[in-house]
Amino acid sequence: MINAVSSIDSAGLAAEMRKASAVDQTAPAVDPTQASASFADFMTNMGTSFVDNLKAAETTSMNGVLGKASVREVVESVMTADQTLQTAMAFRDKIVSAYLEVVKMPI
Amino acid sequence: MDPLSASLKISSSGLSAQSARLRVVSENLANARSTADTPGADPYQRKTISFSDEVDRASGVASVEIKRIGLDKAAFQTEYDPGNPAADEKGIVKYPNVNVLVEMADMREANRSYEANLQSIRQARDLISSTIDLLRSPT
Repeated sequence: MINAVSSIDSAGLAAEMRKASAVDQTAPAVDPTQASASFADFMTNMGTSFVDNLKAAETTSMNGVLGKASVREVVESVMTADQTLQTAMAFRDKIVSAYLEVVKMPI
Repeated sequence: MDPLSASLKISSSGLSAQSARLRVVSENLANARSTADTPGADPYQRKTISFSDEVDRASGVASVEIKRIGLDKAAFQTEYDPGNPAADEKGIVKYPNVNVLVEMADMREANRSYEANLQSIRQARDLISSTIDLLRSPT
């Protein structure tokens, strides 16, 4: 009987998994270029884009100190970098908390 | 392009346009009494600035840019002052066609427009931040 129950359970679970993976495959269709990108790739992209933005902000700030860039440009680039960092942090926090939730799941 | 980021960009172009306008006002004010170096020659001529909308083809966003900085063709003010080095043979000195009151009004308007653009940037930034904060909602 236990076998029967577990077979039902695993069958149901497999169906759920299939459904989830189907969702997973349809969801990235919004962005076909990154259809095969994994989560790690996504985080890497986010990281590099943040580093690029931060570098740009630093260059602009230095130009601003040297009098080559206007205050407006400095503020703009620093704000962009700040925004990218905030997005990345919020996203990471969310993912980590989701992961912890899975880890803490009572078995 | 994301509309909120686009409005940041547009407001930023507004900031640079208004600061250019403020620069022109400063030039006019600073040169309000600048006369010519040679007798009878024309003094400083008031500068005007005009703007136009500039559509970025890639994103379809219309920002503002400086169309041209021109010269005001109004007549110069004249004063009788024979002792002035710039006076002509009749003793008339030509002063710039700058009306300080008009310049002050223009400066105030540029100031207000700059503040309006700043407020627009602040608003867009706050909206983006609060959207990101949705991710951080306590569970």
